[in-house]
Amino acid sequence: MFECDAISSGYGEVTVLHDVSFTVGAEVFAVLGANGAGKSTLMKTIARLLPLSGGSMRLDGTDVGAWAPHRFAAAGMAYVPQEANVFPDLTVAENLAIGGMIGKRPRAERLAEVMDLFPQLSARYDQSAGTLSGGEAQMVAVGRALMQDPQLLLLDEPTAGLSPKYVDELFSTIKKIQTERGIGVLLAEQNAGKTLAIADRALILNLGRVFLVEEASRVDDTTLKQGYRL
Amino acid sequence: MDALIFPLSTLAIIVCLGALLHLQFGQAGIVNFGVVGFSGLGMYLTAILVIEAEQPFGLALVIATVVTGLVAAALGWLILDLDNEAVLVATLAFATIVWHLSTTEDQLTGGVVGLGTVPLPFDLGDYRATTLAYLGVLVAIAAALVLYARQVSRVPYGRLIRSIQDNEPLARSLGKPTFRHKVVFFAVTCALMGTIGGLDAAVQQFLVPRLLLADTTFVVWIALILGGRTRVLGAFFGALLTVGLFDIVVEQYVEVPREYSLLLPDLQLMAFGMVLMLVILFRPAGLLGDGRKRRAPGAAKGASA
Ligand SMILES: Nc1ncnc2c1ncn2[C@@H]1O[C@H](COP(=O)(O)OP(=O)(O)OP(=O)(O)O)[C@@H](O)[C@H]1O
Ligand SMILES: [Mg+2]
Repeated sequence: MFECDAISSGYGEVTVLHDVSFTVGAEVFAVLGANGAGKSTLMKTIARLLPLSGGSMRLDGTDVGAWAPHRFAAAGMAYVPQEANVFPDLTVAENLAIGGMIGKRPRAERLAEVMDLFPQLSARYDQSAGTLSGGEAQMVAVGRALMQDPQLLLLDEPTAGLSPKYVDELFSTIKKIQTERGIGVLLAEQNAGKTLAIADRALILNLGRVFLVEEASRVDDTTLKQGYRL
Repeated sequence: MDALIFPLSTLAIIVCLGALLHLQFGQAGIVNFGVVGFSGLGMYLTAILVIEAEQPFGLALVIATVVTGLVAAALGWLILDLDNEAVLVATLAFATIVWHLSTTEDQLTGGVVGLGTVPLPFDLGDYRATTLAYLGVLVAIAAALVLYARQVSRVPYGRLIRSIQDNEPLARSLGKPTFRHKVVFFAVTCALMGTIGGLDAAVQQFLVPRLLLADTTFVVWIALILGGRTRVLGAFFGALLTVGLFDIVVEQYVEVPREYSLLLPDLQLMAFGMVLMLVILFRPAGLLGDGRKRRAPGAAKGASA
């Protein structure tokens, strides 16, 4: 169980997020909102890459709001940024291996699972990640995060730049991972329709504030339109 | 042959420093422009401990290494989360400070008059045999460093170090304290530069502040860039082409008219500069090319989806 209680954060003097509160259990939790609504800022804040300027956040009751990113990662958080989410000079194999640095299960076992989820990667195994196609790079980024055996998985627009076929594939993979492992997945997305189809609950951000937190099935088009209005 | 022992020892020293700079810059992305500051600190500390405190060479070398490492750790802690330009300037400034101290602290360093003589750490009875054996030691250390640097990129620790330079924000969220790793890596590699400097003290025997000028740093950088910063063997070939070509081939075997011989060091630097520019323009990955595994996109079969 991950909880955010009235968190605020931003960049230097600029506050982008204001009093954001929600909880994430074992579910796919969608983070929606228009461009610039603050989805990525929220993900970066949770990943501990931006300091909190107010509020608190807890993982299973432990206050993690002042932790360094690596400490939170060691405690079960894995983060896939919207941009620059692979190590371009490292090979696919090395990218995945570096995700496997933490976690207790044998690395080979985890690697086999990731390769099962993304069989396309096996042909690219020794290629440097910087030379992959956009879709392949996204698979490496998600695969690397899964290698960390996370309890809380943060995905910031993992489908950006993917063709619709890949989007569907990746979404069903995400859903499958979540149900099989019983973990919490925060999924920030632009594409509300497809995201709501696999999400359990959704948060809509509007100009850095919570517009609504609701069961995904109960978010209809009118609500979305209001939530995306600036 | 005897005349070659000194330049070959210098060559081995440059290869050692090149391998260490390869670790710092090629693997960890740390733009250390103060190589001579760390090797020079080790060099002077070793010499001062041997000559003025009359300590055995081995102990002096260990102390010099540890002190250089601690100084580098403190410096690294201050600068390593800054951007590349800041690291470049700060390390260059550090080397300048070390040089400056060598001239001003003359009761310790002998100032511009110099400090001497540092004896070789062992004596085989015969001077020639002793210097030759010492050259052998230096070559063995150079080989060990080059092999280690090759190996380290393949183990998890090296992967972590490369990942930090490749994408530090991402590396920070991977469960390892990247900044601490970087500082420790920098401190250890700088400490080893200090060791190499200490070993060099016995090659030079008589130390003067001129040895701490930026020339050494430049030669090591040129060697690394000539050979290709992502390949540790690059440091080796680069050193052959720079120190090897000039200090050995030209100085020993080419008849330079007397009136030009004073110009030689300047011509050498000019030639380095020219070659460096050409390399950066036409072979940016170094003469040996990029050492990383990289298949051409699409070269792998069966990846279409
Ligand atoms: N590094 C930064 N420095 C200053 N302001 C920033 C920075 N990054 C983002 N912002 C601002 O924060 C606000 C929220 O940006 P954020 O990237 O979180 O939006 P987003 O919801 O992820 O948008 P998108 O859907 O386009 O990815 C924007 O107004 C943006 O200009
Ligand atoms: Mg975003």
